[in-house]
Amino acid sequence: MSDPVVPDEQLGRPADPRTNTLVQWVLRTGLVMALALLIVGLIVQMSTSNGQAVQVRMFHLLSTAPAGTKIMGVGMLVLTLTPAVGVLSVVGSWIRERDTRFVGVGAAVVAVLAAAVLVGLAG
Amino acid sequence: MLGIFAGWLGAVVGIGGGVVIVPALVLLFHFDTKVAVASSLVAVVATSAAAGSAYAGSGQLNMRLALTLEIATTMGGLAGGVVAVLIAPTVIDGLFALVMLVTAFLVLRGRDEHGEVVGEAGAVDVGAHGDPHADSHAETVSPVPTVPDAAPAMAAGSDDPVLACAEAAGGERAGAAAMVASGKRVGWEERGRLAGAYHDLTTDALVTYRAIRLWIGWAVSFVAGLLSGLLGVGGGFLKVPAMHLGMKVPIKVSAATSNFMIGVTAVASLFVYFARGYVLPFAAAPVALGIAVGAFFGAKSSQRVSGRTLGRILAGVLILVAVQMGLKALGIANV
Repeated sequence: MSDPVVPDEQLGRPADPRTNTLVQWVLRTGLVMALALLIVGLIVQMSTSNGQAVQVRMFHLLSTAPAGTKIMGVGMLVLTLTPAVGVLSVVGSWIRERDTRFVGVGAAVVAVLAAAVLVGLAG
Repeated sequence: MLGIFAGWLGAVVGIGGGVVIVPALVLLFHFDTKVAVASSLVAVVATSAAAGSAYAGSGQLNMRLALTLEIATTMGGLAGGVVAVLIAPTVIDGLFALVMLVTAFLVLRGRDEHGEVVGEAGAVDVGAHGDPHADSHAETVSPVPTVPDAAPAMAAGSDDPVLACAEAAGGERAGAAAMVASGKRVGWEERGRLAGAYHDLTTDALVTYRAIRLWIGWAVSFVAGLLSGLLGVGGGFLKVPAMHLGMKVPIKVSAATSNFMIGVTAVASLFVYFARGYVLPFAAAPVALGIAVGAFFGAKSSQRVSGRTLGRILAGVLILVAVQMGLKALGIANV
């Protein structure tokens, strides 16, 4: 933690408000899409399957499940991807800002997430 | 209704609501524990997205702090998945309960001793609502400046505290702007990137802060990720106190930042549950819908709830979950 002295103008540089706006848009859009799919899927499921609960696997969404469950499963996949897309959008914003230190931080998070997905799928 | 309540509580306190969802689904609706955990993780992601989208526009969410700590959290989550097969669950449950009781004590003690508002000598004057005798070192409060065009002056190196606040209102980096005039050596936390400012609506004051002791945040975030991998919870109940008490980040910033983080952390676990077929849409969808609504309104109301109230809610939740986990560790409750 012994970085060199940072010039005043670097410390005083205001943050890019587009980053938070972008994240806000990504999270809100992903959430609205996911919730809309969940609502539609729930209605379809209740009207066609008497409310019977069915488990789904991520990569079998379109082949084995009833229509309502498929729609809800896609909604959950959209919901699951939303924070990950949010992280990617933040990293993209920092790339645009040429903030190399935090581009590295974001890339590390993405790498660990990718590793976690691979470990999960392999297990 | 369960989802709405869990979502509101999670957003206000900075946890994902999983500590409410999992036992409720298992005890009240008799779902398999793994299905309940998967449903909880879906709810955690929904909470995080709903609250995060609301917080992003409020200035309370510090994205650089979030992703910096997220490195440790996600690594902890990976490690947790491996450790889960080696350690008896009761050992983890007991440790869980102990950690949460200690944290609840620290939160209550910290609130009582330091109060809501603290100051930093030599940086920015404590505002009209501040406590001049407080002894924290990272958070400063000032009345919201009424000169909207003051930022350029501070960017040019002004040491006027009012202008410093005006400049700090520009974004998360600028909380360290008050340090500029001193020209002191700065490190990772002080570089203006793990610092920030937000307008506190309860006091109508601008609160500037800079995170200190990053190693505490990393260490606790790793443990939070570890427990998340083991138990399927977000881990916000550890990260919020760590950021607030350990790193001296205001509790509202801690809660907002934690809310974004828990969604990212939950995604890794949720992919595993999804891939293995533990996601039951008919169980998870109603919970996710309810919790998203509750989280959205929780995030909105948190800006109008005092930090003291937030601290008490957090401590209450910690004690409740600690008792729950303690009973499970002793074999009294099978949650």
